[in-house]
Parts: sequence; C-alpha cells; structure tokens
Amino acid sequence: MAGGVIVLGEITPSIIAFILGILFGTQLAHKITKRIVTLVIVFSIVGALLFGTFTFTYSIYGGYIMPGLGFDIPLITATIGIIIGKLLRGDK
Amino acid sequence: MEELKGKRGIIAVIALLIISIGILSSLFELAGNVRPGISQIYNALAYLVAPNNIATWVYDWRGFDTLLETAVIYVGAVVSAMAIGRGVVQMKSYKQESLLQSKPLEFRLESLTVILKYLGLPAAILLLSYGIMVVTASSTSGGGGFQCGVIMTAAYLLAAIFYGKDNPIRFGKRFLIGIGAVGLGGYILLGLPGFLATRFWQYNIGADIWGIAPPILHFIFGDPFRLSLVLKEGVFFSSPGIIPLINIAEAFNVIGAIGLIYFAFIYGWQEE
Repeated sequence: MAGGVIVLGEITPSIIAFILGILFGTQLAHKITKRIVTLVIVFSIVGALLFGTFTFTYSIYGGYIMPGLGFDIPLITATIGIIIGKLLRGDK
Repeated sequence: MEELKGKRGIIAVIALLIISIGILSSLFELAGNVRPGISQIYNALAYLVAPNNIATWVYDWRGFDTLLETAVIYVGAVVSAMAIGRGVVQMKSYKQESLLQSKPLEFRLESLTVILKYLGLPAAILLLSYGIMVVTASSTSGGGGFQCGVIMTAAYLLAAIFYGKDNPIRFGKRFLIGIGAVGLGGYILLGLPGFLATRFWQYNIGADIWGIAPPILHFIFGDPFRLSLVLKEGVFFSSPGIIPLINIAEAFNVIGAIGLIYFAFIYGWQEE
C-alpha cells in the first residue's frame, strides 16, 4: 500500500473477475461435484501464487504478501464466480 | 434494405448517425491537438515503467483500430461459415439447398483416458478463469481483450473435443450473438462519455491526459482503476481510465466472434 492510501485499482479487477465468473458460470451445463469444486479452487490458488500479484499492487487486499510473494486474486475470484454462477444455474 | 425496417432499423440508423457525427466532429477537433509521439505523459513516464511499454501506451489511447480488428473477425467468421461451411450453416436464403449430412458427434467417455476424463472439466473451468484474469490484468500487464477472447473460446473448444455434443461449456447461439453484440456496442458506446464531455469521441476521460474532462466524470471512470506507481523517482498515481472497460467489451466481442465459428462448425447452425 503506497503511503497508506487505499487505491481502488487493486480491488476492482477482483470484483470484475467475480462478476464475469458468474456470467460465464451460468453457461456451464455439466454436473459439478464437490471434488471438482475443491480441485479448481486449489488449482486456482496455486495458479494465483505462481502468477503473483498484478504490477503496481502493494496491498494485502490486492494479493501482495511480501516482495516476491503474492497472489493473483482475480484468478481466485473468477473461479469462485464461475462456481457461484453454476450454482445459480442449477443442474440443467 | 429490409433489415432497416421496423424499430430495430430505426434504432440502428439513429445510432449510426450519432456515432458518425461524433467521430467526424472529433476528427475536426483534433486539429492542432496532436503532438508527435504518443503523449507528454508517455514521454515522461514510459521509460520509468519500462517492464511493460505496451501497458504504458494503452494508458494513453486506444483507438478504433482494435474495434475494427475485432469486427474483421466477425466478417471472417461469416465469410468462412458461408464459404466453407455451406450446407452446415442453414440460413433462410439457403433453405432450398439440401443440408450436408454429417455424422453426428459421438460422446464416448470410454475413449477418454482417465486423466482427461477427470481433469477435462476442471481444466476447461480453469481456462475460463485464466481468460477472465487476463482481461482484468490487461491494463497493467500483457494480454487484453483479444487474448481473453481467444483463451475463453479455447476452453470452449477444449471441452467440445473432450465431451463432444455434451459440451459442459454450453455457449449457445443466442449467448454468443448476445455477448458479441454487447461487446461491439459497448466498445463504441464507451466513446460517448468522452464525446459528450470533451467533444472527442473515445477520449479517455478516466485517464484525462489533457486535463479537459469534468472532475465528476474523471472520478467515475478514473478512480475505480487508479493505481499507485511506486518508482525510485517517487510515488505516482495513475489510472488507465476506460481502457479496462474497453478491454472487457473487446473480450466479449472476440468470444462472440470466435465462439460462433466454433459453434457453427462443430454443432451446425439452423435458423429454427
């Protein structure tokens, strides 16, 4: 966090990713088991760790932990959004 | 001209008129305001954020070239479907022609290896997430709407290869057309606030590099994406403005265009 100022640009991508995830999650038409949900969330967390934080992100809510270590939060929120979108659609 | 009749036609003509007037008047207003190079901000800051020159460039301006590029995909999709897929794409004008009889897609789960059987769907879901991530990160890193669209449709194709007609990613015809139309329309309409406020169509009122946008619009379109750039020279605050929104519109556009190509060639197309 630069100078203690909350910059919205670090949060907005995560919110947008979540909304887009819901949109595309409603297009899933396959039964999704708990095992698949666990798998995609774990994989997206690992992926988020590998991708690291976005450029110019310095806050914990942006996924920044310490230099060289951070999470790409939009990847995780997108996955959660897809799962929620699928739940909203139901097993059709 | 039949397409221009009715309410939709009137709306389309009015929209085309507004956009044409906006773009033409913007061109007149540009006289004397264009500097050599990209912009003063680019010249001052670009070398400080050298890790990504493209990102710095798109902070300044993203013109209609990208919109036209994505529109070219639509034209390509239509032409290729009409030329190569004739018979597969059954539209009204071609009703008199007999449909090409192709073998139905088979869904044979036993032909999949264990890995594909259990990881095919999670892989497709993760690809969708990755596509979304790419478009949300595009204002500060590599990637963008085009790349997002390609990744998302790759997920669609991957799932179609794995599961055949029982594709878990059910991008239907209406969804693809809708999302493509929203993308194209959204891209163009994002130029409207800039035009109304500054008389420059698609002026980035969020970034506002000329300092001519009303503060309220600068706040609405700029602050949600504002980032602090911590550099050796100090801390700067910068916003890509409407660029992330344009990227999302472009992603929708590309998903619609490429998705329709896949849809037509994999599942066929029928008006009814």
